[in-house]
Amino acid sequence: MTDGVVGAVIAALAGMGVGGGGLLVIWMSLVRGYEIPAARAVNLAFFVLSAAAALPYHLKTRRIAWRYVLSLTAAAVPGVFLGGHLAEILSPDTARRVFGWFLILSGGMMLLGKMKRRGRMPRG
Amino acid sequence: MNFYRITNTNPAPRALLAFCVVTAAGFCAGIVNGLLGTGGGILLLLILRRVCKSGGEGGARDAFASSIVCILPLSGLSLGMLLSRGEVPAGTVFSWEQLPLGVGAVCGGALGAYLLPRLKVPVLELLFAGLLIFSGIRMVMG
Repeated sequence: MTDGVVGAVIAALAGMGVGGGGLLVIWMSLVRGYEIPAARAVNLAFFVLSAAAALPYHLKTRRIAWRYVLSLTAAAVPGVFLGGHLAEILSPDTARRVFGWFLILSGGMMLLGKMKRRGRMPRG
Repeated sequence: MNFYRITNTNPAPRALLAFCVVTAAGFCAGIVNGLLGTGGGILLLLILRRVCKSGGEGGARDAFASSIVCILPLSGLSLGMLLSRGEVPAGTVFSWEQLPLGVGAVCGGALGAYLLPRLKVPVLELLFAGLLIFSGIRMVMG
């Protein structure tokens, strides 16, 4: 039951397109005691399901920018295979840390930009 | 790089450059997802936010919705690769034990899609920025 509620909240974020931030991996590993690879696999399957559930509504409201989506996805597919092979050769730990810093920087810049815009808004 | 300053000069190079940037970004997002098993969707959303920017608030919502279409095959492929490498037995993912989570995923996914046009864009962006920082900290900490 708790799994269902936690899943629904994280899936709502995924359905909005915001993503889950790996919240489910944390839930599965810390609360349910799964090993990280297993938690990650469950997380991926979970995202497939929640994205598939969200898709019909987004198609209905015509929110999909197909001209970008098709080229992005077509380019991403061979990238996944290459990344998968790289994971067998390289230790992904360093890449994970570098990417982590990139995310912190991107999120921080987004928040900072938002605060700056708010500061520029006229008060009234 | 200011994508729009470069691409707003001449229509033909603009379309070509947009195509190249989007394709390269998609390829990088795929590598990240294949290598780390996560994070590709975030990269895709970051680039979609840039290219859909000209659409204003509607464009921002389009970026969020479009990222879902990209994440769907990416997550499926990454899952397939994880299972085929034998790192995780398929029975761990596809078991009755995960049924509540699956039901939550379907209900929550549909609810999220319903909420997207109803929430204000700054709220969505704040959520996204928060999750970016959270994911980043999680990755840095290992």
